[in-house]
Amino acid sequence: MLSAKPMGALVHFETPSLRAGWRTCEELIEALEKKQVQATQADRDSLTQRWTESVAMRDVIATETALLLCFEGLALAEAMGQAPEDAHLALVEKFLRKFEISKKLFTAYQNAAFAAGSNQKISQQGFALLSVVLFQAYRLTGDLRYISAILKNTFTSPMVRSRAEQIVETL
Amino acid sequence: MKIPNFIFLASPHNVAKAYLAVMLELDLIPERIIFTDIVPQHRKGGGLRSIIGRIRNKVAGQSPLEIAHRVLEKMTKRSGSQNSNNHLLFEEVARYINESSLPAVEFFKSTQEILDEHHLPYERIQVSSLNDPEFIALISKAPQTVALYVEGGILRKPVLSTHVRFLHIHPGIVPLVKGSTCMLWSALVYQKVGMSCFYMNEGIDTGDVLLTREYPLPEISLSSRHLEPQYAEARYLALEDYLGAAYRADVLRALLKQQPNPALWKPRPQDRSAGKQYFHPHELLLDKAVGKFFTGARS
Repeated sequence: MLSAKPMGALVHFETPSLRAGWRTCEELIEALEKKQVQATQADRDSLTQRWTESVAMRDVIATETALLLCFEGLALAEAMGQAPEDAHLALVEKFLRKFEISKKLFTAYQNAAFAAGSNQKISQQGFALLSVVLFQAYRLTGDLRYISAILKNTFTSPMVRSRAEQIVETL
Repeated sequence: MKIPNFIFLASPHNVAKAYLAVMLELDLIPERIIFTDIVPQHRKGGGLRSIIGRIRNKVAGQSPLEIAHRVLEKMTKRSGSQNSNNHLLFEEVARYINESSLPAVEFFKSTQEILDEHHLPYERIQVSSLNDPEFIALISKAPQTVALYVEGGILRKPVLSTHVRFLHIHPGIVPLVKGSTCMLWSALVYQKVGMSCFYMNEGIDTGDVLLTREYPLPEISLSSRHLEPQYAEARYLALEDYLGAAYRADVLRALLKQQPNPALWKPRPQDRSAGKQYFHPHELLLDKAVGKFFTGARS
C-alpha cells in the first residue's frame, strides 16, 4: 500500500531500502544522484508483489498508484544498477502518450485498452508525479521524449524543470 | 513515360512541388494527377477562438492569464512567420538545396504554375481532408492502385479500405522514428536525417516499407541576421517546408529510379512493436534540433 500523495507532500516508500523515513520523490532523485540509495533483492520482491496486486492483476488501474509504483521501480533499477523492467517502461510509455496526445490524465484507466475509467481529471499531484516518473525514466534510458514532456508539463516541479533545462543545454 | 496505375495527389505544399520536380527530372509522369485543396473545417471558425481552443488543448491546467499570454505569444509568432523578411531566409535554404545533390525544386512557383508550365493535366477537388466522403468516392472509382500522398491528415479506415494504396514519405527511419516532427528528432537523437517510404495503414507510420535513406546532417550557412533569435521560427519552417520536402523528393527519386512501375515494388512489413513514437518537441528541444542543421553565418 502506498501511504501518501506523491508530490508536494511526503511519500512513504514501501520498498525497504527506499523507505528511510518519509521523503519526496525529488529527495529520492537527489539521493540517487549522490548514489546514496542501496537496494537489495528483497526490495525488488516487495515492489513486484505490490505491482502485481495494484497494476498487473487489476482490470482498472489507479493512475497515481501506478505512477508511484513506476517511480519506485525505476528508482530501484538505478539503485541496483540494473536495467529498468519492461513492464515499468511500458506503462510510462502509455502515460506519456496520454499526456502528449490529450494533455489529460484521468484518475483511472482500464488496464487492457488503457482507456479512461472515468471522466474526472486527476489532480495537480498526478501531473507532477508524471514529471518525476518521466525524469527518472530519462535518467535510466536517455530518452529525450521524456524531457520534452517534462518541459511541457505545467506542474513539473522547479527542481525537475531546472534539471531538464540543463539537459537540453548540453545537447 | 507514364508511371502506370499511379495517382499523384498534388497540393499547394512544397512537398508536392518537390515530388513534381523529381518526376519531371526523370521524365516520369503520373498516370493521373488529382490536385487536392485541403481546407480544414476548423479554419472556418478560425482566428482567435481557434488559437485559444488549440492552446487550451495543449496545456495542462493553466490559468486564464497564462493562456492569454500564450495566445498573444502565438499571435505574435504567427505574424512573424508571415513576415516577408522570412522569405529571404527561405531563399537561402532553397539555394542550399539547389546547390546540393538534393533535387532542385522550384519552391517559389505555385504547384499549379509548375503543372501548367509542363502541360500536365489534372483534376481539382476541394476537401477538408483525404477522409472526406467526396474524396473517397472519387478514389474508389479510380482505375489506378497507388496514390502518392502529400498532405491531408491521418488517413482513416474508410479511405484506407479502398483498393488504392497510399504511398507516403516520412522524415524518419521507421520503425525507429515514428510520429511527429521526426526530421528534428532524428537530428537530436541519431545526429542524422532519415527518410522512409511506405504504404500508409491505420497505425502511425507503421505501414509496409519500400525504401529508407539516411543522410548526414547538412551544414547550412545562413547570413548572420537570419541566425538571430527572431528568426527561430522561420528557421524551423525552412527545415520542415523546404529542406524536408527536398529530402522526401530525393527518396521518391531513388524509388522511381530503382523501379518506375509500382506493380513491381516490393514492400516489406515493419516490426510494429519496435521503435518509438515521437511527439512535437518542447520549444527548447525544437530550437536545439533546428540549430543542428545550421552552421555559422555566411561571410
